Amino acid sequence: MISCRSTFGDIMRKYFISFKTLYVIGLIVVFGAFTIVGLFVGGGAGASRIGRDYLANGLEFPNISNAVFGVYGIYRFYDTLFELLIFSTAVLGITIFSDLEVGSSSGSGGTVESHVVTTSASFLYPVIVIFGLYLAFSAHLGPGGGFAGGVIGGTGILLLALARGAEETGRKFREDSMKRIEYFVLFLALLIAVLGAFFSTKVYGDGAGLAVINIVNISIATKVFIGTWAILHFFVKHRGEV
Amino acid sequence: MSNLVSAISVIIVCVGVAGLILKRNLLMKLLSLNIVNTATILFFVLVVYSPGDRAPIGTPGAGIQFADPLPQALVLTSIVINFGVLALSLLFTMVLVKRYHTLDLRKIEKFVKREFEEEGS
Amino acid sequence: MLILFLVLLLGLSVAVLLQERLLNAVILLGVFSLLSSVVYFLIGAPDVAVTEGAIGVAFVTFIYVLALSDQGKLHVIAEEVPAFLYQEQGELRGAELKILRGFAEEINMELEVEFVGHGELTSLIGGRRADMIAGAYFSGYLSPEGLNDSRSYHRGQLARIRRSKEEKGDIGVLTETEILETQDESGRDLVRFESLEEMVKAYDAGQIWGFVADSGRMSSSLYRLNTPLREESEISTLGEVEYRFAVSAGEEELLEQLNSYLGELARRGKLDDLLSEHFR
Repeated sequence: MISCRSTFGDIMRKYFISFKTLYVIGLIVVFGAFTIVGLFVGGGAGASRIGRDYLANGLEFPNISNAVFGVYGIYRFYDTLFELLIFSTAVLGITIFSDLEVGSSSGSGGTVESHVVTTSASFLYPVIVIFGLYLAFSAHLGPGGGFAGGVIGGTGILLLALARGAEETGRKFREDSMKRIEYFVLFLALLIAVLGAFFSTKVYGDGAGLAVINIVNISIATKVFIGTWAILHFFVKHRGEV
Repeated sequence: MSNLVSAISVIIVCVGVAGLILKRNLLMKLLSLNIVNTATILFFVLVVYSPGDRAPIGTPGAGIQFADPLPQALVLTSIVINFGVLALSLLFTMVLVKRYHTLDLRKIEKFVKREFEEEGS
Repeated sequence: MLILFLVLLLGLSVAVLLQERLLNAVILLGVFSLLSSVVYFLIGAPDVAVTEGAIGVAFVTFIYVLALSDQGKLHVIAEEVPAFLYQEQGELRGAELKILRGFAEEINMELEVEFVGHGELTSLIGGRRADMIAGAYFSGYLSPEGLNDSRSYHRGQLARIRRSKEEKGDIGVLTETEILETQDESGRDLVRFESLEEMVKAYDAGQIWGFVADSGRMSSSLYRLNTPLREESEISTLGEVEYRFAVSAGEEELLEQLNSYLGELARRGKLDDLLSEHFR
């Protein structure tokens, strides 16, 4: 008996598998099998159409063609509002640490010394920023939306920082004015969410509807844009030594 | 069809969770967490898929079947929050590495425990 | 078509976890996000496809690569010992500096040297705030707990300076030097000092009868004795020391790289050139 168990342990040790690893993998396999079996049983996936009502009602607003925008911009705007708040908190957490001595700031001030990169980045970044803006403003007409538009705009500004130098760009986009714009935009989104409780959804259907839609678009896009730029600027300044 | 593809995405989630627990390197743990996030939102979108779906844009004509817009909208906010949390956790990893000069999680735990005991005594 | 993409995604996710280099894993994760963006497009979710493409492919890869700079820092703490490793007008000089610089370049790291006092050496390495100890270190100079020694790169002597041959007083020694316990014949008390300057001052003032230090430090300390005392002191050799570096325990990989680098230097004869440049 004892010799059987010891050879089993030797085999395990030879292939670097310990009992703890097997236990963890076993638990995960049980969880996966349970979920997959639950998918097949009980009607299966793809049978339900949860968003059927949103599809039916959302597209009767004359200004909106994108049903997904109808869901996150109109019917479930509170979700979007709180997501913006969470994102603000994450960006706040990063900017608080900006005076920490993490990693080395690059010796050349963040500029790349190759001429090809600086020249091509100089005329490429407006295209990218404008494309991001276009995506943000046409959220209700086609695919895109404020989130993707904001991230693309922020990454375009990173290209600008590569072209002109990270320090100089950081000085132009000053931190206090960025913070003020960010909180103002958050206040705009909050205003729309609160006003929606008083005015009916007919606001979206009338002439004032497009203005409200565009304010929603702008607020999401600006928030994500400033947050993305703050994160990228922090990481460029403090290049880690990992 | 939708059953099969969502089953595969569940397997990807399981692989990601296994990597999260079993890997010792801090950055590999973060990468596994990223895989778990991406695979979860893949699962959300795949669960309501039926073949022949078109994008939910425009007016529904006769016989055109639209994809479900609700999981898509829920998942959009989730993607943005995921990358915000990832940036913050990378920041803390950089702080840890600068202090302890290693990426191995067990070594860091040992040193933290030792420091804690030394301070207490 | 869709199933093919998903099986590819499964293979990619397993491949990400099996990588050894972190940069490869990050790039594979970018490909993973790109493929899932294609899957979203095929499903009929173009909004999610654009967002996942912008964030997962561009942004996340940017952040990981910016956090994963190629060069880490090799943090070396040392006591300032002239001719070994010292600072003159804000610039670092010394024989050990060339060895350290070459080693840092070899393992693709940036060198950072910090001069600390004698008592802080052990606590800093034990608390993992530094990687290596330099500055005329030999085995027995500090208590060996938590340290691993590398190969030696130079030989020196452990010498003793006394007023005269008879033992008439205490002998001073730098703190934590252990080599003296076995070699002191007279059984006198050993007075421990924190730094070389204090010890030399005490010797000048007559508080101790003699002191022990290694030859590398001795040459600098001899200058600080006032001249009549310097001429009438008697110097005798107690043994040999080998100058090494110390690496914090638990960093076996760093120790191996250091040893192989020193061995390579010794084999190519560059070590002798380096040392003869700085030591007479």
